[in-house]
Amino acid sequence: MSDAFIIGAGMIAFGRYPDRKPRQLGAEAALLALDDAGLSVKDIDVAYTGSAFTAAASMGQQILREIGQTGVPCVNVSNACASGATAVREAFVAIKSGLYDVALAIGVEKNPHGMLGGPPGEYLSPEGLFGSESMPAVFAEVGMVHAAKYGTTLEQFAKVAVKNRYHGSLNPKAKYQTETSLEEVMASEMIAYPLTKLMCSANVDGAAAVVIVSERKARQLGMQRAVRIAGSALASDPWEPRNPVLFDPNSVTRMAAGKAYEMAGLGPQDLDLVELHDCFCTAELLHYENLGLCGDGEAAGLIDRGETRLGGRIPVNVSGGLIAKGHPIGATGVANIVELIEHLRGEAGRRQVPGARIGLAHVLGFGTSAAVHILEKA
Amino acid sequence: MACRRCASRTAPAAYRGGSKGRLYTWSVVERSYPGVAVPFVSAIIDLEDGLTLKGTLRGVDVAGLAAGLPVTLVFNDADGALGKNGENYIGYHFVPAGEQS
Repeated sequence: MSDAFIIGAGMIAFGRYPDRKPRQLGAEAALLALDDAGLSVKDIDVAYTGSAFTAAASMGQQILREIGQTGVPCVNVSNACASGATAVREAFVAIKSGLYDVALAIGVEKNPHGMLGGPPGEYLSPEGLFGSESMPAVFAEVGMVHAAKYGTTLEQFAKVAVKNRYHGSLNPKAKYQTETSLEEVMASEMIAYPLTKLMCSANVDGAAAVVIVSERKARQLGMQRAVRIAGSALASDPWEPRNPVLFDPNSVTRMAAGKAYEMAGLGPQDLDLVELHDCFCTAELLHYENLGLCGDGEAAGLIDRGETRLGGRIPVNVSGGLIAKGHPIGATGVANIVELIEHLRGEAGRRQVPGARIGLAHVLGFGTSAAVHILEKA
Repeated sequence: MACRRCASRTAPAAYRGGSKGRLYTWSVVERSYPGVAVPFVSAIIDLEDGLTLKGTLRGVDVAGLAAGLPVTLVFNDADGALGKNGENYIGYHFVPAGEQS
């Protein structure tokens, strides 16, 4: 089977775009990725578009109407917060199948305002009567499992936001580009204990895209800036006794990570940087352990010692993550990969992880899916 | 249709669950969707018979909450809420063991 390489990557700055349609955001990202690859839309054999909220409105075809209707197969995927990563994963599978030489994967979203989700209007809301199904509460509850088991504190969870806000201050495409102190994070509005407002991901619009090609095509175009997809895995939540009453982000992430490491023939010790799904500060600490960056119960020590900060042993979310860069649901899983590519090419500017050769991108989709991609400099 | 653990298509035997359990994890919810009264404690409870339920935990001092707290399942009328045609609801919540409501 041919290897698959990413040869083009692009994303728009994350923020609010009140005057633009999702298809326009997706089209801009797609053109950035094509330009980066030195290709035209006429070179694309197949297109995959991930969007949690607009996949059913044929977002991929809408985008092709903005950039060129060549009649290629166009697949739209909705997989909650894993939508974008699922599009990348499907493009990878398409290239590996040998049917296609050039695939375009796009992630795009215009997030609704306010707290995501929400009870249906017609019937009595279960919210408050049967606990909470809001995302902050759900991720607070899983964080409190870690707290009860290992003594993790609100302050330790809050340090994740301080770190990612610092990283965001180095990223010109991040929603929040100012540093925030531990005191500010801890003193911001309490949403669902132990999560304050600044410990929740930033609700924004955004789009990102990558061009994935076969080895044959990559050699033809030149390997200079190519990045190999060494591992790609997608998992759905396996049976666990409390899931889904207690949302389980752990076993599904461990399953996807294990498969991706196995495919790549690599382990956590080989990674130079990680972009993981910090939808809430609690999640980032859980995923240190789920991805094997440390042993079980050791995540708080990593954040305390600054090991996951830029310059540390294994920098995590140097883009600013979902907390500072922002979390446009369907775009996130592609943007994480775009971030890795910038580092592996040595083009990440002030936040560059020096000498980065191997990176891991992880997303978690509520419902539940996890996707893990391991990229290696070609 | 089938067991989500083992994929068996043999229906499980019916049984009556108990009302005693222990707090496994929780969050004090200070902000929820518009119109939802806060704060409240969203709790995950392990019942003694092996079931896990999510529910609101009432009548506790949140400052002293800790995993393992013994609780009792209490049925309620969804705080008197009525459906579109005036029908009643049956709901439930949890209280610390030994308390009545």
